Amino acid sequence: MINNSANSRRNDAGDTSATGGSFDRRRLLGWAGASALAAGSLSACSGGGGKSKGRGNGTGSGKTLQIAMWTQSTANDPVARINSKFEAKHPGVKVNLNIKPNTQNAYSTMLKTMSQAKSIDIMAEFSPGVGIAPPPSYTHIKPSGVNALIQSGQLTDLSKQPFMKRYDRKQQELAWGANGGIYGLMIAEFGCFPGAFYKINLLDKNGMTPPSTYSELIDQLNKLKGNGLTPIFCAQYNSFLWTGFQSQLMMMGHPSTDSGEVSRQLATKFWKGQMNWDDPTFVKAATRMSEVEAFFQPGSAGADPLSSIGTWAVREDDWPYFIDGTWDIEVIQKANPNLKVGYVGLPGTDDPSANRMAQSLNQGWVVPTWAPNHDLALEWLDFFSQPENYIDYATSIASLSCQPEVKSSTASWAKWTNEHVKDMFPSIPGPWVPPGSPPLAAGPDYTKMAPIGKLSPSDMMKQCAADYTKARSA
Amino acid sequence: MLCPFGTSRSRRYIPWLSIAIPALGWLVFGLYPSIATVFYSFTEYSGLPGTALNICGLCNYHRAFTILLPQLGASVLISVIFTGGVTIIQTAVALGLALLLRRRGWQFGLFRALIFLPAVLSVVVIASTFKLIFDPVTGPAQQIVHSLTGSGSAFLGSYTTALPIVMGITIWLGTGYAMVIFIAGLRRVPDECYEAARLDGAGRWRLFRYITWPLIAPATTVVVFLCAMAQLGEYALILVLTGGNFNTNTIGVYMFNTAFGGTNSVGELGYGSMLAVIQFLLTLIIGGGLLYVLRRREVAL
Repeated sequence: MINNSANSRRNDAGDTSATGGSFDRRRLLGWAGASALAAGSLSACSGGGGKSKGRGNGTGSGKTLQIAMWTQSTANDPVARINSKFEAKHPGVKVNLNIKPNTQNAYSTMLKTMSQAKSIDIMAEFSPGVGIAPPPSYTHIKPSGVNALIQSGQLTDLSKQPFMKRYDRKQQELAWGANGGIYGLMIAEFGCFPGAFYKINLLDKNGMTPPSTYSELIDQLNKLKGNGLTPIFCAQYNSFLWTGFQSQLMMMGHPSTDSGEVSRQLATKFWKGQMNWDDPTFVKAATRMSEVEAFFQPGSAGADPLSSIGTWAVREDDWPYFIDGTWDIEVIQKANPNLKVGYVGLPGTDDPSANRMAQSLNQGWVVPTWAPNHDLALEWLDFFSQPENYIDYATSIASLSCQPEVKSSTASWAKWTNEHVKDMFPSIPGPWVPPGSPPLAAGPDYTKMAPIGKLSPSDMMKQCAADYTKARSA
Repeated sequence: MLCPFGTSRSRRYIPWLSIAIPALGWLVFGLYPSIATVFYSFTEYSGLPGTALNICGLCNYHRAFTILLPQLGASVLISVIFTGGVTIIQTAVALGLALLLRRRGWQFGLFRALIFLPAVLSVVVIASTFKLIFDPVTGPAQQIVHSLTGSGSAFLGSYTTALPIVMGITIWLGTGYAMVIFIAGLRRVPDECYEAARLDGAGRWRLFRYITWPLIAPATTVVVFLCAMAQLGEYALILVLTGGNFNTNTIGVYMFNTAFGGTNSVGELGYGSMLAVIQFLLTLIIGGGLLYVLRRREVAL
């Protein structure tokens, strides 16, 4: 073995000395291989293929603007149209729309990856908490999520940007206000808590119109059930009923404009131990949620949310109500163009004037301070905010308009929301909850509460209260 | 054959270079994340780049074993049930299929390929397909159950059925792979052993009990060990099927959901990293225990 190796080495040496051409070729090959490796490594390290770093100027020639947004079947097209127009107006600029679904945390994972690489210019984010973000310093709550980005100075304050004038400033402050600035641009809001689509012909056939009080709602659901129908269709378990009912009950006696103050008071009282989840208002909201859920189709907790929209739409002779947000109207209309559909807020109290719909202050755009094309990103936001572009976006996703000068959709399904939009208010988000708290500290787990789970509403709220107490004192 | 690269002097570095590249990869993508995970478990880091680390010592461990003990305990218990159930049933089914399909021939090959097929499909595609199959309103499973029992089920939305369904899909997914390992093991058993046993009057059961089972012990070790390790780390399939609801919150799902959060990028990487450390310890204990027992069994057989 040793001899063989030695021979081998000798043979190699012999080759080398005997054939100079081979030696040169091998050395050349060696250097070429090493150079290719080095070049590969360097290009991999540089990342982004020569993408400009730091704040670019507004003209943005030869730049790629990176935008991240969660998957929304109705929003993809209008944003793509706006991007094309922006590219046409800015020769040399390419706008790249990165889309991932919110399910299985795919979107947030993509955001983290792109933030780590500092390769994102504009990100879609939900509002961090209506009127209660960030938690005050006396709570000692370590900021998480978007709040952490705001507190670490990584989001651009948009309060003085010219495009902000087009929007309702008070709502923008509620959605994105912190430390005296506005760190996001809210572009979509939905009156959806607790909202439901309904089949107009089916209600007509049963001699009914949407109810205006909670008692009427329960009566109607019982009658529909008595007529052999399954009154409500719902996919899985969602927060619509809970958020809507507790917001309606908490806002009783307050004008819509007070929602921010009510939210702040609620969060403060929770933190100071003056209120907890076992408060009668929350128990009532949970009980009513549980009562309405009893009218859902059997097995609703296991239904696939994506396919459910079409499933509901194509069946015209059952499921009069469908608990969902207006953003799915396009899917419904595509699935069954002949369906006469309306959208209505479900009443959570017996006072018709208190049954106002709570809004989801939904998608916002944020611009990181370190965005590679920071100024170009602000230009894009300005372009997006121009009325002709914003109306395209807002009507496509069936959002209420965030710009006072731009009207919301006037389609027939939006009749109820347009009539009641003045009374709507941003939903009440609940208390400040420190990260790492027991899960029920943030509110009830719908899957564990009757009729899906075994816990009664009052027991569920007691457990929530116990978890919140633990979280606050931890 | 002569090496076409470099000179006699430079060629001595080629083996080192060959080792260096994968070693670098392991250091960057294997060791560093592992050490970082242990480090993050001592912080309250949100996971968002550029935000404060908030080093807090043992705070996450303290929280896990005090106010969050019920969640952690339930999660560990579900992980053990899931891993134990899947490993035992999958091993038994795979062995049965291997015994049936070990023979050569295109018909057997076709069946083997069909059974192995799920192993090469995307987990997300499989999970999405099964979500449709088990949809309580439109899924075919509901029609079958209804025609057999007269009542329905929420399937993946039920505390009674969600975990067994997830386990069943996992078993279906991994059986082909385990079957292939068993077939390889069965083909290594010398025919002479069977012939000698048959001459001694052994029937099918005795052949299996005294010849096949002992001689495929190494294959069984591999199948059981790999299956158990895979199930302890499983999260993707469960995440798509149930999101960890309805008694399916295994430690892998709990860790992923905690570390990477939901909307608004709200993640608690610090606490999630602590869960990953616990998951590692659980894997170490169960994996080490299994290897110890199975190796001793191999020697004993």
